Amino acid sequence: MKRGQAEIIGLMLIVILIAIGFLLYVRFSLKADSGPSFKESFEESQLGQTFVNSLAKTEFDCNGQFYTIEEVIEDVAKGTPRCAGGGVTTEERLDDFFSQVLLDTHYLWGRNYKLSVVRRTEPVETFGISNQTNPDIDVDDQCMVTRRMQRTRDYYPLPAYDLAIPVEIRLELCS
Amino acid sequence: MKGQIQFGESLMVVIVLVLILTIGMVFYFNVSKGAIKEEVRYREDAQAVTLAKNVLSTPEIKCGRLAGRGDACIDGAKLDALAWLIENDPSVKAYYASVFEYATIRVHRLTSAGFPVSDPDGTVFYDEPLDEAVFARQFIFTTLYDPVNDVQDLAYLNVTRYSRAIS
Repeated sequence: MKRGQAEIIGLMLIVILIAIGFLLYVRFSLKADSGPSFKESFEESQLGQTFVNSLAKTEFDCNGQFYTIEEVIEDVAKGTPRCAGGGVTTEERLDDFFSQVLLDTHYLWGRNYKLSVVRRTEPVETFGISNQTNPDIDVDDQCMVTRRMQRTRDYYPLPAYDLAIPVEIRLELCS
Repeated sequence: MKGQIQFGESLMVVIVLVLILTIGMVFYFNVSKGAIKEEVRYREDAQAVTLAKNVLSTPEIKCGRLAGRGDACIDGAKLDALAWLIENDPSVKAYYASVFEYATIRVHRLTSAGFPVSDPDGTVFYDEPLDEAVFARQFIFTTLYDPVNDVQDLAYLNVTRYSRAIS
């Protein structure tokens, strides 16, 4: 083999090694930036879905009588709230209830959440029941519609047959 | 002399190539090992999700049809009774060990008789830990029927599934 041929082969070897190194770098950098995996999204979604479903079916003390959260929200949406008492409105009682439940769960687990009860209009509108978010997270970093975030959004639609505009309980988990 | 130098050069080239190949193989096997560990962890997590769902659908603790509380509901009295049996009857414990395997299942109440309550430690329903194990934890929400007060409360299951660590 001539000296020139040997040098060309050496050069090719170096080029091939650099190319392999570059391909490996690209592969691993893409893998690192790929965001939450399917598994994480699935876990978040089932966590959110079981939360809203169970919350809707949970019974709430309305001055000694029990009604499901779903029934209480339905009454608020129809304008006939039934749980007011002691100077506290039904909406305020629901706010306290949701706040306490979230503090013992998603807040404790350090999640960025937003629980809302909304009318399904475009854009959606709230009707007296406050949005609940993680108080430790800056307003700018909370689940905002206007910001691009990885999020799962789970809904519990209330029965719509006697509501003028359908209402839903909505939980968003953002990262 | 010239021949010796050429032989030395060739030897050095071979040594460098072997070194590069060795480094490449070590890197490749490390990456493969990491990927396998990740896959195992994924499967463990998936099995923890399955276990959590299986607990919710265990017929022994599900709400009865007469209570009319829907599918995703656990009867608090049945849960307490089964937890007591698992803890005190070895044959019952052996049966559930074959169903739930190595796991710790806690039930955390979030409401009681219509009011929020704080229960960070929860109640142990099943506890069969495994020493020197890796674990996957899964939370799942449910409603907990209280037949004494005839009220449906909110709760979540904290399911920790243990498995042997791979080195």
